Amino acid sequence: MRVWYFSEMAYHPAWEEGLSRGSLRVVLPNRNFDPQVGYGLLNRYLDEFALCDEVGLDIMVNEHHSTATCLTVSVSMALAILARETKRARLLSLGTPIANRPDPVRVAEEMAWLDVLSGGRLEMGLVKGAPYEIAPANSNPANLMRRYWEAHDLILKAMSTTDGPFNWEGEFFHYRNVNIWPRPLQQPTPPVWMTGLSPETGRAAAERGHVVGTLLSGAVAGPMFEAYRQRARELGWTAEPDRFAYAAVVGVGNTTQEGYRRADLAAGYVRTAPVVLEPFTNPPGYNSVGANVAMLKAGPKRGGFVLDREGKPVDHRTATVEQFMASDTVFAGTPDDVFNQIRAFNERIGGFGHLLFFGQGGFLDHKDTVANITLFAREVLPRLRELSPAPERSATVAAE
Amino acid sequence: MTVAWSDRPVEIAGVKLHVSRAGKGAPLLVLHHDIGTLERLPFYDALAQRFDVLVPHHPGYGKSPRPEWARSVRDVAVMYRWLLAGLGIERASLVGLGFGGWIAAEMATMAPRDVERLVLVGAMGLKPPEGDILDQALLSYIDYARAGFHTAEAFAAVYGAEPSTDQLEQWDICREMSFRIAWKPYMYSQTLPHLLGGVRAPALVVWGSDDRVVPLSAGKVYAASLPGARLEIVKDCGHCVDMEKPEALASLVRSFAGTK
Repeated sequence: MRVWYFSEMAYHPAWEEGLSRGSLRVVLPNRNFDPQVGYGLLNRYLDEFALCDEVGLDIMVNEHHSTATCLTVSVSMALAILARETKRARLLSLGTPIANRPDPVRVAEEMAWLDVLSGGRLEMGLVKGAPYEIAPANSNPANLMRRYWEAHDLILKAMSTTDGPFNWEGEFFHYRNVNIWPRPLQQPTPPVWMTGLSPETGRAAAERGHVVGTLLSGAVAGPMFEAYRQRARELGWTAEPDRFAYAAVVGVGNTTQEGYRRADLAAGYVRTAPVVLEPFTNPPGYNSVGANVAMLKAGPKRGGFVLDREGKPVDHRTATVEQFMASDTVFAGTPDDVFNQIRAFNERIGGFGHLLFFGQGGFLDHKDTVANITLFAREVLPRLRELSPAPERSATVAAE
Repeated sequence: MTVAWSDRPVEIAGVKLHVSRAGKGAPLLVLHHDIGTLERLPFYDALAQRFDVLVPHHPGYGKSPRPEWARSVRDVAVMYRWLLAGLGIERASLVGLGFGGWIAAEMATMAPRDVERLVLVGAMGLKPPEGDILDQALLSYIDYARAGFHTAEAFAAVYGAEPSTDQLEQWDICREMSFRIAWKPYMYSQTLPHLLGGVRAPALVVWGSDDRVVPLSAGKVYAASLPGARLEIVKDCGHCVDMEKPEALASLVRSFAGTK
C-alpha cells in the first residue's frame, strides 16, 4: 500500500464564523481571512508536506476555492513548490477540476511541466469537483460531465501526442493548434486518477484503467470499487488493489488516547467541509433531479456526507471520533490500533492500494501534525507496505 | 366561461414541442417564464376570449423535451418562428413573459415586418443599466420562484404555500435548460440592444411595480429602444404579472393587440 499524506491547508481561524453563518464556502466574505495569519499557515503546511518526503510518505494535494476549509487554490502551484522541496515522494494532484477549467490545454501544459520538473514523480488526478465549486469557478453546471470527458480526452491527447500539432474541434473546446511543450517525462502520460462517489464513476474509471479514489465512507467506497472490479472483469482484465484509493482521517499516538485526540482535531475537517448554503450544493445537471429536490427539501439539516456501514447518514457536524471510526471515516489510536483498523477495512473493502492520509485538519497544531506524520511513517507505513504491496514506482530520472 | 384548450405536440427542429391552443381571433403567441408554466392559467383563459392563443412549452421546459444541441435563446426564437410558419400563421402578436419576453424580442428583431404586436412583460434579455437580473444560480430554486411574486399569498395562490415535489422537479429541469442557453452573460444578450431599433411592430412594455427579478431600468431601455413603444407599470405587482394580476394584464393586452 502507498500512503499519501494530505492536508487541505485549512484556514480554521474562520471556521467558527463560517459555521455561525451556515456556510464556510462561497459566501463567507474574505475579510474573515487574515493574510498575516495565512502567511504563517501556508508556510507551515508546506513544511509539513516537505517532512513527508523525509519520512518516506508520498504526497497528495487538492484544491478548493472561495472557502475557509482549504487554502490551496491550485494543485499546480502547490506541487511546483513541493517538486523542488522533495526528492523521493511521488506527487499526487487530486486533482485538477477540469470541467471548471476553461482551458484544458493549459492543464496539460502545467501537468507536463510538473512531471518534467519532478523527474517523473507526478500522478495526475482529473476530477469533476464538488458542486459548490461551480459558483466560484463561474462554471456552467449544465453539461458538466460531458465537458469533463471532453477535457479529459483532450488533456490526455495533448500530453501523449508527440507528432503534433493537432486540431481539436469538440463540443466545448476548439483549438486550431495543440502542441504542448514540454511533454511529460512519464510516457505516454503520468498515471491518471479520478475521484467519485458512485458505481457509475467506478465503471467509467475501469473503462480507462484509471485509479479511482473516494473519501470518508466505506459504504460509498465498497460499491464503487466493486463496480470497477466487475467492469474490469467484463473488459477482460483484473483490477488489482492499486487501482483503488481511499481517504480517511488518521490520528496516531503513543497511546490510544493520544491517537484519538489527534484524530478528533483532524476530524474538524469532516465537521466543517460540507457546511455550505443549499443553493450551492445542488446546481442543476450536477446531480439527478430527484437528488436535487431531496437536498432542497432537507435544507441545511441534510446528511449524506458521511455514511455508516449500513449506508445510513451520520451527522458529520456532531459525530465523535468513535462514530467516525464506525463509518470508516477515521482510523485512530496507537500504531497497532491504526494498523489493525486499516487491515480490517482493507479486507471489508476487497483490497485497496492507496491510503490518502488526512493527517491534518485544521486545529491539529504543527507539533501534533509532525508527530502524527512521523509516528505513522515509522510504525504504520512499513506494515501497510507488507499488507498490500504496491507496484514499484519511482522517479524516472536520478533524484540526486 | 370555460375555455376549451387543445394540447398537441408539434415537431420543430427534432423536438416535439408541447403546444396548447384555444380561442378564436387574431393569433397570439404567449411565451412563458424561465420557471416554466402551469398547464392552464387564468391569464391564458382571459386572452382566449379574444384571441387565437398559442401557449407552447419552451424546448427543454415543462412537457417539451430538451434539445441537447441548443446553445442560445436565439435558437429558441428561431424554433418559434419555425413553429408559426409550420402552423401557417402569417402575422402573430407576441406576448413574452419575463424570460419569454427575451425570446419574443429576439423574434421581433429577426423579421421586423411580420410581428403584429409585441408585448414584453418584465422582459429579460437586456443588461439593466441599474441593478442586475436576479441570478437563480445564487439562490434556492424555490426562493427564486417566490421572488417572482409581490406577496407570499400571491405565490401560494398559484403554486400552494409548499409546492409539490413534481413542481420542484419541474423547476430543476427548467433552470438546467436556462443555464444551457443563458448562463453567461446571465439572462441577457449583448447584441440585442443594438438590433431593437429595427423592430416595426408596435410594442407595449409592461412591468410590475415591485419586480425583484428584472429591474425596471431594463424595461425603460426596452421602451426607449423599440420604436414607438409605451411603458405601463402595474401597481402592487411583482415580476410574474401574468400570475399576480392576470385580469389587469389581459386587459392591457386586449386593448393593445385586440384592435387594428
